[in-house]
Amino acid sequence: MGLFNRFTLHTPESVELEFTLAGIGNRAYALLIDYIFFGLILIVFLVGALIFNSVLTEAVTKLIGSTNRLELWLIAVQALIAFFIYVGYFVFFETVWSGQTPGKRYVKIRVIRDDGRPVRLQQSTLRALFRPFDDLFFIGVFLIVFSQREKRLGDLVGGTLVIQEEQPRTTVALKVSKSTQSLIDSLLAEADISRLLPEDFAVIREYLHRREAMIPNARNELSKQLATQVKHIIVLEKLPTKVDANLFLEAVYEAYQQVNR
Amino acid sequence: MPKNLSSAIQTGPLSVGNVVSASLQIYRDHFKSYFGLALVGYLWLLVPIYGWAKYSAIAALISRLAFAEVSEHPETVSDARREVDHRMWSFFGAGILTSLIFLAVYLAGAIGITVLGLGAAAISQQNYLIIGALVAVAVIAFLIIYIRIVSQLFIVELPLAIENNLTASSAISRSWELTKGSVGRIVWIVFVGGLVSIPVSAFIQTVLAIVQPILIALLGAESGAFVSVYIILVVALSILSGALVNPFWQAMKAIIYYDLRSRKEGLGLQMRDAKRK
Repeated sequence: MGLFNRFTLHTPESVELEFTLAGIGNRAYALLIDYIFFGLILIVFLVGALIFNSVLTEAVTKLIGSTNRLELWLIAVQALIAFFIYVGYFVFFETVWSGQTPGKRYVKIRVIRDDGRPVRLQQSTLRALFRPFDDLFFIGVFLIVFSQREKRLGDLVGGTLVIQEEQPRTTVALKVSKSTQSLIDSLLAEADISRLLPEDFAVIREYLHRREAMIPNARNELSKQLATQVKHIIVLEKLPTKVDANLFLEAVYEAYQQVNR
Repeated sequence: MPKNLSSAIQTGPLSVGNVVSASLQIYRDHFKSYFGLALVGYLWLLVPIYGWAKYSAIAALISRLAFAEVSEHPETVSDARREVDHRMWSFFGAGILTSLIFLAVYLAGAIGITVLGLGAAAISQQNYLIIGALVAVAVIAFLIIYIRIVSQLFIVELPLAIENNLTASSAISRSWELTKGSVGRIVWIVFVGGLVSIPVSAFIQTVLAIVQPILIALLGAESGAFVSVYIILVVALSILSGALVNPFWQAMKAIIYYDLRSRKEGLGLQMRDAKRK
């Protein structure tokens, strides 16, 4: 798939790991969600700070008579705290969740180090410290889009990459009724299941995964098409009895797994 | 370790972020071609009616090319052009129809909210809080409906460009059908796409902001020369920035269309022998 940037990592143990880079869309989406969360936390903090400030200045005015530039000090300290919350949000989550913030978790991407190892405090802190430059002036967007490994300033400095999490294709849980079982048996007996290549099996499995979400008309159409094509591949002239295309595909799916167990 | 089987299948259903990334990637892969087409298209916009139809045909052409890329049956520009050009007026018609629909919804909303506001004022007299709250709720509801309608008509030119025997109105219903249930995703995709394209508009605005005082200094703020140069500059920059960004959105529409057909109609799921035909 030329659409997404893949790259291969060679670990010291001579293992090849293939990753897909996250892409600007996923990263922008994750950042949006993270900023929303961070914004909420910041609002809570600001409200608390405002209340704290007014209470404190009142109390001090009562005690001393004037506030003596106390407000300036309070605002300075709170601005600093806000910055720490900003950096801390990302550092905390990326360290504790092994490279994921709430936004990244939702979008299913993850930060890792250049050599494939999980990020730790240093890398995460460096990334977060350069975030103001990346996000405010959109330097990050340009760098992610145009650099070789989609590295923004924070990634370049921290030596990290952001990858998509691989979605392992789960097996399709099928209810095998008695009639299906007999169909499977007759398939194993009469047809040549071994002519089914892994790619064909993958297409059948993909269909079984997707069929729930499909429009009924299209699903029927497609199941008939696929069933005809499968019949052609496994050299089955005709079925013993009239069988629904969907059931047929399920049976082939199960039969293939039995043959290749 | 079994080979990654999913690589045997075409791209398949995509997540929100991946749609945006893929749109950008397809645009980058064919930058010269798409940008060139878009530039011509935007220049056509200067010609009334016929030029506008030409523009919509070119926009649809870019979408068709992008769709061919993502569904892994790439088409040459001339082949795609042949398919798209004779439907030019359908694209124009579809554009007009969708604009009319938006206008109608907007008017209905505006009238409705005004009536509501006046009615509430009549009933509750001076209670501004209740009136304000009611109007706010009504505005939010209207926005949600409006966004929903815009999203469901977002990909109208795709069925027209790709499928056969469709008219402008049937393409609208096709777009409506396909996008049912996926409005949330489309809204997010458009939003994230907008985020990603902010840098371009920001850049253009900065250029304008820098150039304007320079021009004023050179030509004098009141002179006719300044005004005409400025207008030409604004038009030129608008055409350039429009042409720069347009293919990105056209590619995105194509990928959304592909993604929807992939999920709902299993587009691309064929056995290898069928693929070879």
